[in-house]
Amino acid sequence: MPAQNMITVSGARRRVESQVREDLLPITPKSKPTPPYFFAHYPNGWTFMEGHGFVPTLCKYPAIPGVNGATLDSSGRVNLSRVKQAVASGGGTVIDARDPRLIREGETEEDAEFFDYVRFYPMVGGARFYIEPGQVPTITARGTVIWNSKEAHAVNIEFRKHLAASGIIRPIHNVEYLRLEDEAQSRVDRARETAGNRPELAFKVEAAEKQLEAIRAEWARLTEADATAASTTGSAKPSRRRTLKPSRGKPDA
Amino acid sequence: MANEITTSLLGTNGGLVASVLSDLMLQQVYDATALSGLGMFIPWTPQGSATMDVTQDAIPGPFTAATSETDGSNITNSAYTTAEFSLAPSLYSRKYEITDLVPIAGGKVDIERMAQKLVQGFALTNTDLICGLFGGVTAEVGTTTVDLNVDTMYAAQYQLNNSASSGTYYCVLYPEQMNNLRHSMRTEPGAMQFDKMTAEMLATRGPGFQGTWNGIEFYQSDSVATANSGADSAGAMFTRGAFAWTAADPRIVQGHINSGDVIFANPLVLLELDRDKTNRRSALAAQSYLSWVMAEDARAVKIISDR
Repeated sequence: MPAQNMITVSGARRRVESQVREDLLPITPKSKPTPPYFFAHYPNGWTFMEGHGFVPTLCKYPAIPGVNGATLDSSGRVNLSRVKQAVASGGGTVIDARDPRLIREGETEEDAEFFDYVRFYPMVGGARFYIEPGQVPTITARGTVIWNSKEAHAVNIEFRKHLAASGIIRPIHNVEYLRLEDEAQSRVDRARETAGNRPELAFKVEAAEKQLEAIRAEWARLTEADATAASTTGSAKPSRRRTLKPSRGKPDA
Repeated sequence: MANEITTSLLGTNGGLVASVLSDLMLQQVYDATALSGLGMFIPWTPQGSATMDVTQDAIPGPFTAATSETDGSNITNSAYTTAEFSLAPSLYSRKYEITDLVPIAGGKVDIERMAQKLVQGFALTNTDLICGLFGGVTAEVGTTTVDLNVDTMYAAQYQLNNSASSGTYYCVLYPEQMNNLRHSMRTEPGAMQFDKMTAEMLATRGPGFQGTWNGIEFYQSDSVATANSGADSAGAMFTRGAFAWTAADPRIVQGHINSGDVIFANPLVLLELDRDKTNRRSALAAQSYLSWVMAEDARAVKIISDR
């Protein structure tokens, strides 16, 4: 008779198994399952961050059947071809999670932080919580989830900077710089107008002016670096994109 | 003194039970915000494909001045440029199952209550789906890890105005974004502080519609997703037409179901009873076929601020 079918008077004592799987994220109103996704970048997606310079901003597209034209294929996978096609036709660059350029120097595919950036934590009941680069949860004794927002944000900025540095997305163009500078100038102007009547708001002017200066300084640093690189590599043109030259028009007499 | 009748004695001897269920059943707190009304509903017209393309008509252009009274050759054909977006309804479903012993034991949870929860869940599904689209909006205002303020709301309004986006402006924010915006309104000096709408917006409300301010209808939802690795929330301000949705009528499959098993059916959702006689269990399953899409990016602005 096989051992497992034997009836014994007293079996071996067993430890009561915990009903709480500590390796699974609980589902709470504040911690609901999130879908897989991909990032995309558009040429106008740039912002200026003090201490980091010009950082690309990313669009996030969820991989949910029925959303933005995504469908389920016969193997049960979400087919994102229509979504990616729409991004590309809108001038966007899809950030392929398995682009080898996401592997930084000294990393391998296995330990790379940004390569395969679409990762998840398993949740109770088989659901998944898809995270962005750097996110790490802590589960409290009460079952609430606390995320390392500050640390993850720092990783996120590094991730976005790496996209530009590695050539996955094109560097910021002069036109975008001018837009950011113009926006910063508008903030200065508006702050000055407001503070004209209310001197207690002078701090807003100061902050806006400081940011405008920082934007200009960063751009000067970048263009200087470009020019230096151009002179050392022998390239005469530091500009990165084709610019159009207007034809001369002659108004009729 | 002796032989007093006490609750503990009755509890021991069967005269009282430890506790009984109240006749009342109260709802636990949750965010019931329904946002499907903010999307443009496109009727689903199935014609042999699970995907439906919707055409967005060409933008009209001004006329060109003729260069000659007798020669119209400078008037060439203009491009008639249309755009499109695709809707591909997918199955969304939820199911509850109950054993026969629950109603027999006088439990408060019954089929009707399960049906009610499923219908409410349909609204939450739409809220999740529209909020999931905000991350894909290309225009962005706000500053990462900085609390949302009145200046950012103006920046969003200016962006929509620049892109000729007309009609009612809707704004969907995460609860903390709403709190921060209220705080900013509270401390805003000058005319804005004394605006009647500002005073009205400062009143506390539950989830959902938060009021109108500066011509913007505000909504709050905990379905608004995070951005920048959880540091920020990605809310959005938009006009009608930015997001579109459709729901394929599930009643078309009603002929496949025993009429007695259809508990509830309308053009959006169908509830079907699945009786397991052998195991004495009853399952109630809801099905709907939904699709949401960002129809026109220019009609929306993403609002990034500290979560």
